[in-house]
Amino acid sequence: MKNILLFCLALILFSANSCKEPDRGPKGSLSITFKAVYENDPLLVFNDYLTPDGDKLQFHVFNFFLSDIELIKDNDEVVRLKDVEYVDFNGNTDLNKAAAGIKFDLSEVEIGNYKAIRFGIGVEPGKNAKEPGDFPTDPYLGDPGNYWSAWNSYIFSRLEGRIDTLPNAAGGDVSYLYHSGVDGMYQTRSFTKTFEISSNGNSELIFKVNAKDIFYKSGAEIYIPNANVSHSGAVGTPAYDLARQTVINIANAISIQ
Amino acid sequence: MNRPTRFAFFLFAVIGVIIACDPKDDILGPLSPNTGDGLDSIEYNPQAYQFPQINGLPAMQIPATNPVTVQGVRLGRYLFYEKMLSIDSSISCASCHRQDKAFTDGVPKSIGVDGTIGIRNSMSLINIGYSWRPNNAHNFMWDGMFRDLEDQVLAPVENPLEMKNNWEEVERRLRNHEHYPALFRKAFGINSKADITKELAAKAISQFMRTLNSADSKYDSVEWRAFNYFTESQQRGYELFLGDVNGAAVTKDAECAHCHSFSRNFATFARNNYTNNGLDSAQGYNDFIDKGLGGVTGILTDNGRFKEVTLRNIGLTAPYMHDGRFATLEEVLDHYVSGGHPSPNVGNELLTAPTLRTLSATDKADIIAFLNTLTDTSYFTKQEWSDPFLLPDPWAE
Ligand code: HEC
Ligand code: HEC
Repeated sequence: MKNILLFCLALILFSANSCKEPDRGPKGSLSITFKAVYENDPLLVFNDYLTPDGDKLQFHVFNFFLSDIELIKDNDEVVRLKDVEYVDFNGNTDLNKAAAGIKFDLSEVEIGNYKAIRFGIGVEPGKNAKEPGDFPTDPYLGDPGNYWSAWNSYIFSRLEGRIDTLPNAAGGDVSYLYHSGVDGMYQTRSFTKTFEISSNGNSELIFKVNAKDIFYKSGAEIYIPNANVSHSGAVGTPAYDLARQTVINIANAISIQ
Repeated sequence: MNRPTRFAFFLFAVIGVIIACDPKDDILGPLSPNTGDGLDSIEYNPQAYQFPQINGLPAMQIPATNPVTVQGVRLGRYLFYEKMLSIDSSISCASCHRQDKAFTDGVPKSIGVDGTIGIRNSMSLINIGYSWRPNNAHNFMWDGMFRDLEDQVLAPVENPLEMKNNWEEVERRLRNHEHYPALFRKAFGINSKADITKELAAKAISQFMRTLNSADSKYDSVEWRAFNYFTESQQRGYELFLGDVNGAAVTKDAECAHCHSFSRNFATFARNNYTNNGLDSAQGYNDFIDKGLGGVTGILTDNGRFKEVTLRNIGLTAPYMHDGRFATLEEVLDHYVSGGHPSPNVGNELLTAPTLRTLSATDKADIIAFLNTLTDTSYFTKQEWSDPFLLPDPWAE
């Protein structure tokens, strides 16, 4: 009887163990936060912001895919954190939420000394060749709402809202919508930052996305009333160039803190 | 210890291994002492339900806490058609969700017990399991009241405008029933009638609803079968619906697919987000008659937003919108082409669609022709989805 009990115990222990992922060295945790701002203020959706032109600008929808999020170690080793994430500021409906930002917690990151982080804005071409049904368990790639069948592409980024060019008079309201997509629009960015991930500490990387820069950064301005809508379109068309400019500008509006 | 006992121990340990390695495998219901009602003598051996593969629909995401089993679906089907769920045993879920109307009811606002008229239009349950996105707090109902189907199911029973009952009473009825205790035993392994709970009932009904999947319309045959084509009018409607087909600039489009979105292999024609499609005028966020999502979240800018529902079977689910205000698809198209009513948060997809307001009568007719290709009647006579109480011997195995 005793033997049998021992045997059962052994089996149970074995079974509990057999389910674990193989161990690949010590791990630490890292959180990555994206905070949208309009200059110095946390960005609120449906809030009025004064533009350099004296217009009133609102953001209603602001989100984008991140792909291939990777850390670079001091020794140039590349550590893949995530294939895909989604940054969605639509929940910025009050100052607390906006100030907190969108936070991704990663608990299984290789410990060590790092010097950079990089990722793509949009969906990298390999995955963009597929469709939502190919990713049934991915909350973002698996969502047909993030896919635009007309281009056979994911929607890399969305910017929607309204601008009032006559803030103190009737009229002047223009709604805008810029959706970027298709492979030629995928943007990659790398950010230099030295940091350590240790097994007991909680490392944090914070990115700011300055929404003002998307439309008003000098040399890359997009004047909304001139062309208030683009869902990309065929290469070489003004619609394509405009959508591409929006995702380039989003990528360039991101800075690491 | 004799050999059979040793073997039993061994078996037990092996099962332990299997269970420990499959976190999804928690179909075992609550284990309670045997109270002598003999339920535990009934075999409990649930089989995983095999979802048929359907072109255009991917594998469904299912909460790990409620795996779908043949026995659970079977119980769910009875409960879905069970009038005992309503206070006076007059209506069942199916009264407002009819198989031959893509599980809607054909009236503007649903009619509950005593003929009480509700506040909203019934919703189709075809492919309803695909509305569940684990990361989303708001997945079900026009206003996004529920994250999980299992919670949604509990609501109609106690809604005074619907079944007007309470779950204690329903549990009592189910426990005292001649057949239900055995079905609960087979589905969830309960040991006693007292273990029949609303939560288990909700799990079973949810399992049944997750099997209501179908994508067998004209659109689907054009997409998936050789030598099946749209008519010219349907094809034009499809292109208008989608907007810039194949990335090419077009002179006219309606861009419905922004919100009623689909891909070839995930063709639910629903983004399932919550937006305002311009049904009502509102000066400010507090002026919406029905606050929709905002009534649930308390967020001002969510007022006036409703679920971007599926357009599959839309030809079968008149009247339309959350309050059933439009009797026909012609009225729906007139609404969209008119530009809708102004309010602070109308979907920008509608406000910026460059040519939506210029669509002609022919354009509208073509879009409707396309929408009607989403009608699927293949399941009208599907036995597994039908009312078991209409069978000559309803409880036969
Ligand atoms: C009196 C009519 C009525 C009855 C009875 C009824 N429903 Fe409904 N159902 C509705 C209406 C109306 C809505 C939309 C309600 C809303 O959004 O406020 C709805 C919505 C739903 C939804 C959400 C669908 C979606 O796309 O989000 C599900 C699921 C559902 N019902 C299942 C059930 C089940 C299961 C039962 C039985 C337990 C049931 N209903 C009983 C009328 C009814
Ligand atoms: C901005 C997103 C959006 C766009 C674009 C859009 N819809 Fe909708 N649609 C919705 C929402 C949200 C509802 C539910 C609204 C409600 O009931 O309050 C809806 C409801 C419907 C319904 C009724 C569904 C039902 O079960 O009652 C039909 C039909 C429909 N839309 C067709 C279209 C067509 C055709 C187009 C293109 C001309 C279109 N929609 C464009 C968001 C959109």
